[in-house]
Amino acid sequence: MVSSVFKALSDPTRRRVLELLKAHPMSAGDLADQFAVSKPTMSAHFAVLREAGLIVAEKRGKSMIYTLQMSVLEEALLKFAQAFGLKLSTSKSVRAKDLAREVPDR
Amino acid sequence: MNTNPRTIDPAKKAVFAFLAIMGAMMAFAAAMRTGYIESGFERRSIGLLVGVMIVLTGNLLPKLRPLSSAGKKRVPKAKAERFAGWSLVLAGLLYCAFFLFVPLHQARVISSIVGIVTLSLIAAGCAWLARRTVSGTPHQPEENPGPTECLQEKRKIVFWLLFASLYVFTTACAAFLFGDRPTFRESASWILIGFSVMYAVLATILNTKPKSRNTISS
Repeated sequence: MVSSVFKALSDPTRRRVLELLKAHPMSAGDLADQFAVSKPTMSAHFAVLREAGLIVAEKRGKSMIYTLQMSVLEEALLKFAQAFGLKLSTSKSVRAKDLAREVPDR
Repeated sequence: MNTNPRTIDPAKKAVFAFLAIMGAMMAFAAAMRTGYIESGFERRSIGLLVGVMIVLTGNLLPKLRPLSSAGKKRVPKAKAERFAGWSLVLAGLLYCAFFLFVPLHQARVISSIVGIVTLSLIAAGCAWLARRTVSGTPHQPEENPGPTECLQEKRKIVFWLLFASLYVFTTACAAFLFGDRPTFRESASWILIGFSVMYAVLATILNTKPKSRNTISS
């Protein structure tokens, strides 16, 4: 539970997603447009965030709307991770492997 | 990939933690009445428990978003809840710190003032957010489609937990400030009456809510 939150917060892209969602809920497409990475990679990031319970997905028409769902503690951890640019709990190679496993056709 | 069986339901955790804290507080209060333990220790413990309860409630407030299913649509509730959550967590931590490290007779006064200031700050902040939304720049509409039935139930539970916490917090502040005066019993019953009336009003609003929301969102 806690380790999945740390894992979710360990990646700068995912942290940026959370920062964007702080302003207001956004659709998956709008979020993905903000990043220079492929859509499958983005959806893998979304899955990690969803699994950690930091965001919730709600289907609206054709698109998925993501809403922030963070406790105060989780938000404080996010700020902490951002301030120090931490790669918490997972090394780069492990994360790459994780993502590759989640998105086999990447 | 969508469902994650490992995730523990935060609402469930909150309910259990809340019940445990309430039980402990009642035990301490009972111990104080019977004079089983000396009065200083149990006052400190009750103060600490109130602080912990406020921290827990504040922490979960922006996560479970109990207010998002109630009230006016135009208030940016996510922002208000986040603000209230942070204020409550900080106030709770301060509360705990005072009861741990400051002499008891000072801690009682200081922590109560902290509590009252925090509650007014939250009220003022929410009012400001609401006013800014209505009059000022058009803010991004909260794109929140109707929550699922299960989520709605959870929010209701957390809403009442929040309500009960506020009651305990208010009473504790009043008790620590005025507990020694003979007029305290009167003010305590006024607080109780006030919260009972609020409970009745809120229960009515919450129970009539689903119908009106459907008409708004469609």
